Amino acid sequence: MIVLVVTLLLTLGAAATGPDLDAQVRAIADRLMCPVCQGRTVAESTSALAAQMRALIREKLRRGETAEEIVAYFRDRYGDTILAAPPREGLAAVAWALPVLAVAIGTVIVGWLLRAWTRPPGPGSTLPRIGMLPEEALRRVEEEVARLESGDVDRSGRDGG
Amino acid sequence: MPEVGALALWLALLTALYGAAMGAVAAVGRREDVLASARAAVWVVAALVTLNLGGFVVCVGLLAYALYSHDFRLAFVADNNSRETPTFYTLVGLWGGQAGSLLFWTWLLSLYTVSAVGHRRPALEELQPAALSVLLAIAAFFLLLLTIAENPFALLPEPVADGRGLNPLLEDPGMLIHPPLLYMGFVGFAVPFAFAMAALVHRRVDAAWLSYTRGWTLLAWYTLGAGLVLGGWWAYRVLGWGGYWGWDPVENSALVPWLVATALIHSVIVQEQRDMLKGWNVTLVVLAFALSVLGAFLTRTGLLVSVHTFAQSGIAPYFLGFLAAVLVGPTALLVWRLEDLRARHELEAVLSREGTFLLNTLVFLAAAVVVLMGTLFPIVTEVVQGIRILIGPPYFRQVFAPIALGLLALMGIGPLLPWRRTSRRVLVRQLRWPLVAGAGVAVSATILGASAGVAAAAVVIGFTAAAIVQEFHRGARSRVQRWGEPYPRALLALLGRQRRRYGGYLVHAAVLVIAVGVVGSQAFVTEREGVLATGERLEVGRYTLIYRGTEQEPAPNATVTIAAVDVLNEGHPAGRLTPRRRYYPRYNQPVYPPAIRSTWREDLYVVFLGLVDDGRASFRVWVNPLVRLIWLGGALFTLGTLVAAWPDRRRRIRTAVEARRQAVLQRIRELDLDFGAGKLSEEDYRRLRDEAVAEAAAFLGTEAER
Repeated sequence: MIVLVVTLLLTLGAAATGPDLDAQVRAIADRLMCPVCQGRTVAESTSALAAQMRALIREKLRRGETAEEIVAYFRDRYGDTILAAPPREGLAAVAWALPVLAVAIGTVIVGWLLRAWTRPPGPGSTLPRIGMLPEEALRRVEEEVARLESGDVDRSGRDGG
Repeated sequence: MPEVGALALWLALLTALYGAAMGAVAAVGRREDVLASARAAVWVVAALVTLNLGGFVVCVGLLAYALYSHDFRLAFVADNNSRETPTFYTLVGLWGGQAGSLLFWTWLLSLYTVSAVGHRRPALEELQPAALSVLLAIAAFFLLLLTIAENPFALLPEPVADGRGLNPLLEDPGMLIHPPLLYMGFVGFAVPFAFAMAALVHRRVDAAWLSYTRGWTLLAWYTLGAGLVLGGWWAYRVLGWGGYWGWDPVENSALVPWLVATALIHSVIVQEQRDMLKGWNVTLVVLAFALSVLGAFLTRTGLLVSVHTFAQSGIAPYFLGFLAAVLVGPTALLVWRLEDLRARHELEAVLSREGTFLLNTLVFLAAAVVVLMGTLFPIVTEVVQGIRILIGPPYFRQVFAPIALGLLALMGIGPLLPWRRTSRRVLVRQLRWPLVAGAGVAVSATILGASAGVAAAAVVIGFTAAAIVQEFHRGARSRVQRWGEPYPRALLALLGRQRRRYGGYLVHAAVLVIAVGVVGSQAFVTEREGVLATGERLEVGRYTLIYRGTEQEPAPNATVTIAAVDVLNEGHPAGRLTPRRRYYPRYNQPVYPPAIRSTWREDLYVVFLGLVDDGRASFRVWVNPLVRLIWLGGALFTLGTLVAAWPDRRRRIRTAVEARRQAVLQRIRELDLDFGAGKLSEEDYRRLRDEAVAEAAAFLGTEAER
């Protein structure tokens, strides 16, 4: 576990350089769906069209266009379906609102249940009090627990591993 | 042969319907003779389906081995096989196509049914007939599909000269294991579902059905999870886009039931320990099964067009009807039996293990809902507005990441808190070191220049890693003090004696290892594209690639071009990579299996896209850090599940009374363990232990009277 965390930190250190052109191209390409594939972004796609689109993004970045301008350019040409994440407007905004709504409703439900179920410890229990039980019964419980712990199968002493 | 196969399927359908009816009669009337007849039906259905599948495999196999006349009259064979399909992958054609998948699915279900209700089990005598009836009814549905809608033995009117062949992407060893594992997961939830229904019908929503179905739930949950990891491994090695998880609808539809099942296996513990959440557990079982059916529906009907959807057909209406039945029936049953589900809902404090378990269930369900909605959203918008609004990977990443972090944090906090309530002193003692670790990791990450998102992930990962280490350490230390065992043996004894808990912690560790791999490979990926002439170089991070030329490799059904690339690691020669481009003329489809140089630190992932017009070679290269940890996590996930699910001879449940007895005794053990690990104050420990012992004594007393 410690090795794990140290590894993550080392990787962090190695990768902590400023965003270069390739990273910018990747970030923008990741916001666009490849028009000729199914369910792949332009960043991921191996298609020729996606390669052309990445080259175009690179070209536009070199010319000094911003990420938003480049995405808007593709959105104009291909329509909303090019966007990998739905726009936060119109019907598509529902896609963004629903998760928030789901978590909110869930939180209300759990909050309500917690309130309804929370009850301070008190003498309301219907269980027998320990003082009222015979010594013999209590000893038996302790024996059974110890047996589970030590691993005997039963009193005949068969080994339970 | 085709006629025999179809006949056998009809016979199996009739037998299943008969058995389901007899099971219902036996459940209501408690008739031994009727039950025996229903049980016979279970075996007959399994035998018929097995023979059918066997016959089917032989049919397909004979073609592959070309021992038989090339009879491409069988529609399924013509669709999923060809003379060029390599023999080794003929079997893959079985789940590449619709009818084959359904037949395989039905076969798994019939085997599970035999194993669950084919023999008399004393602990579940009362529940078995009703469960049998439900299981055979499910089998009958699939058999109905196979006989009416998707006959695997359907004949073409005219034999064709050659089949269409197998989709080339499926020609990979990963495809021999990944789909069957997912199917095992999908089908596996049918058994807990059937027993939950039986428990509701017989008003026995107690420890017995839970203890018995725990193994089945774990099996389904594990196979689904392993199937998902293997699917990622397949995608990474075959698809050539540098990643392992694409938020593909088909992957999502397996992830959703897995998330719900994970909520379930945690929530079950609360019922066992505290007699709470009975209704939740039944609901979660129903949801897990219904979502599995939905997953099958989405996968098999081609409703969601994706790389996985190789099969499309007209079975959608049947599936919709079945799905409605699976949701409406149990809901009605739940409402009818609401009175029985009123459990002993007493929560002493929100800050307790049961409190975090509740929260955990909520967050898992939220995660499932989010993935499901994102997956279904395009269909909904298509119906509402006429256009498919795509939900791509970036959406899922943005929405899922915070939820996943929440789950990782709960995974750290939950086990640190005791049952019932947490005193302030205990809270400080338990959270101190994990919080220090989380803060330390976050500060280091920030100093090293990590983004806010990565720093947030680092806090949670550091915290939870420390929490898991602390649990093992304090558990072992407590054993050393109590039994005088040497420390290493105490550590092993934790895994042997408290298998469920410490096996579970191993799975937690596996999830954490996977999380580190995912964060590392998502946040710190480096990517380059280059078109190179022979001898030209491409720099990617620490690596330099030198292109050496291409050659053709003979292959039966594809044109394969191999590119040779020499790799320099910080200037030192580090071997040669040979990425390929396989072109399948029959499909007009190229496939780009990458060449991967994998180390623990990072993967160098090279894809050869082909030669451009002037003869230069086009490459895409990724450096993906820490991806190996994901596969390591998959292995650890398997190990942890094995430890947690390993049958314990000391705790074998023979009867319902035995299950209850184990539960009351186990509560005392848990208290001892928690106290030993410092999770309980002396005062709380005494009070709770007295209570638990009193309950156990009372129970053992009534047991003795019987």
